[in-house]
Amino acid sequence: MGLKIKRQLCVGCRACEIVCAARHYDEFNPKRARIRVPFTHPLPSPPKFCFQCKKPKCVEACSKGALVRDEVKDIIVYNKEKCYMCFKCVEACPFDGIFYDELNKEILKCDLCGGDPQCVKFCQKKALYN
Amino acid sequence: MKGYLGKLLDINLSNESYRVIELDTSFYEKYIGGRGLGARLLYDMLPAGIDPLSHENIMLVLTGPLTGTIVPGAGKFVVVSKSPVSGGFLDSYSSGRIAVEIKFAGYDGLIIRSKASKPSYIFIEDEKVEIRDASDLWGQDTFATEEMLQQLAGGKEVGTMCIGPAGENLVNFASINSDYYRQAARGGIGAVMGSKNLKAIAVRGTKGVRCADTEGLMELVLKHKEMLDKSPVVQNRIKYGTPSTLDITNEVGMLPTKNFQTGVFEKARGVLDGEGVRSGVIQSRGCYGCMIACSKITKVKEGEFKDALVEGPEYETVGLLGSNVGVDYLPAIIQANILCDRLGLDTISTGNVIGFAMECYERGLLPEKYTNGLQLNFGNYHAVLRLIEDIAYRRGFGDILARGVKGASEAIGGGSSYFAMHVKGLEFPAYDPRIGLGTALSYAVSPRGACHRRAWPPSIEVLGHLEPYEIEGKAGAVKKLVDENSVFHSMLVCDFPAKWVPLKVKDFAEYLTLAVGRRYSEKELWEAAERIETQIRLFNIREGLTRKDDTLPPRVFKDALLEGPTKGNVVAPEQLEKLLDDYYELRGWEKDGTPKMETLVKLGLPNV
Repeated sequence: MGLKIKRQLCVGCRACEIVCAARHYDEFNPKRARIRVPFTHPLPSPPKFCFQCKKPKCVEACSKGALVRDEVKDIIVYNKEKCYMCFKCVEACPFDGIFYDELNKEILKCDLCGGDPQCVKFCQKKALYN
Repeated sequence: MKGYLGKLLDINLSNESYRVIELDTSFYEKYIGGRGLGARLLYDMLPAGIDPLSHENIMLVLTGPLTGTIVPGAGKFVVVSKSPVSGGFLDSYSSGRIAVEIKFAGYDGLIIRSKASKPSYIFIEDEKVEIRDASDLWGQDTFATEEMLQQLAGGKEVGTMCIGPAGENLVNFASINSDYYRQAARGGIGAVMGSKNLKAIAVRGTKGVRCADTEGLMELVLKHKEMLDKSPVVQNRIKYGTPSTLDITNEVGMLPTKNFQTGVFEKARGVLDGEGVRSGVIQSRGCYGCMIACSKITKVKEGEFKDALVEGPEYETVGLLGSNVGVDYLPAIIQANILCDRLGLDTISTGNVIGFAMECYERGLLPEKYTNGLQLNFGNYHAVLRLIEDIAYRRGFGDILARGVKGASEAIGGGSSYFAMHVKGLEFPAYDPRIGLGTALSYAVSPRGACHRRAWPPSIEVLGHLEPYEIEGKAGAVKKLVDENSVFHSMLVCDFPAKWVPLKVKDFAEYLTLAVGRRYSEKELWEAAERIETQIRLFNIREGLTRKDDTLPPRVFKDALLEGPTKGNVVAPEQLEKLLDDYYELRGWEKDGTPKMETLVKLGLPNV
């Protein structure tokens, strides 16, 4: 089951973004995060992330089979080997929840940290849950 | 070394060149980062006696070893320079995305030298560094500038810092703004940037920060996060933000009112205090990774300023653009806050300067040519709003006030320096120092001028256990507070989570150890603070500041507070002199405030 958010509780602090990259790459680098908080003014915005949709537009858009819905784990899995970097998934996601890693040249999407999402742990306002 | 990047980007505006400088590890070990590193670099890089607003001054934009990590409050930067206000050391702090973007671009900080031949801005994307034409940005307010900078970055999000018209016009208390509502505001740092023809800096970095033990560091943050839930101070800050400070300052009688004539403003109750401001709050915002999110976004519901919206107002703004100018109408304070933010002015000094002008007016010291029909009575918020714009654009009387209370009192004369509330040219923050001798001492010895950020002694003599007017042990207690903040501001972390969770120097020694990968002891950090504070003293001494500058304006010595629990409070000059003796002694400085040779040797500082 994917991440969920109570939008009204979010204060835009980016803790989710910061710990996401730290968990996956052992570095503090929001530009490699799989959940991202866009800077908006004057009011902050809650993060964008993958909702692990039941009928995913990203999977539909991917002609190479790099994105697949794993019905057992109930998440959408990315396979870099099959990816042609066409960014159709990024464009197709209605929630802007798929990103690009400039460093590793790969698609980034939430994998729920294998079942123990760090962002939920660090969300002080308890806006994120799963 | 992890945590640090070991590099500074050194930019020369006059010949549009840049280079990357690698810093020796010993610099980081001795000075930590932020305030400390800035203190040593400024001392080494600036020739003595230069004019702060000339091309010879430099601006250091610095981060710290924890910047960019998930450590509480690690999203700040400091701008260090020679102060146009005091002629001494200036450090001015802010949050904003640019703090972490500088690190992600691969630098611990930026060195900005010389002066551009025309309005310019600096664009940095990792190794790419460009000095670009800013003729379209010059003259724009800070909000418009930020929006334009984002567009100029071509769709990629950048962290920015910029000045408004006040900085361009070299107003003595111009700020540098970041993320719309965050300011490195104190000490006229915006004027230094303006004097360099530098409108803005935009940075984007893709590299990230690596720590020696990322997992250990995150575990420690989680542990502190649990403490936070149990802290009543944190819960209060989450609910009210800083404005609930007014509940205390008004209650005990240290709320600056009508240019520090009294410490109580009855009309503030329920209107400008925690509950009063909270009635307008529509949303909270957290700085980078912050666990508290004390920033409150406020919107005016009705009346002539209907729909005015600001991230704030913070306590300092409510105090100085409210009670200090006799205004009890929150929507007008919000509007004044917006104007200051847009024009790039420090709300603290702005409130001081206008309060000072109002007292001059009520005492009949202002000739008609200055006021030009404007009724400058306390409480006239229309006059406040008008003066804010006049100051930023240096129009008419605004040109006098743009010099700060010290400069304005020199121009106005008539004995007005008696109530020009400043130390070393920097206007008072929103705590009357007559509340207690520790507060008075902390203002007097603060290197950049009157300041509540170097130490906040009300924590020990109002909320704590020390008698406000007891001299014994006071200098030592203040020194400890100064040293603690010196560590936090060198680290460089926001001291709000540190103070409120609370986290101690010991906890940050642990964070630093996990980030850098070398064992740091608590003792080592306290020693670094000693070194940093004496290094800053060396700079100020070299620039001609002496013991006589560690003083307070005549009002604090001569006018007793008029009402409330502090009624009759006044600081005796001999009390301050005794405290200075004690403080210097504890620091290892001579009676005249010059560091002793043995102190320099002990701390490993340059011998003059």
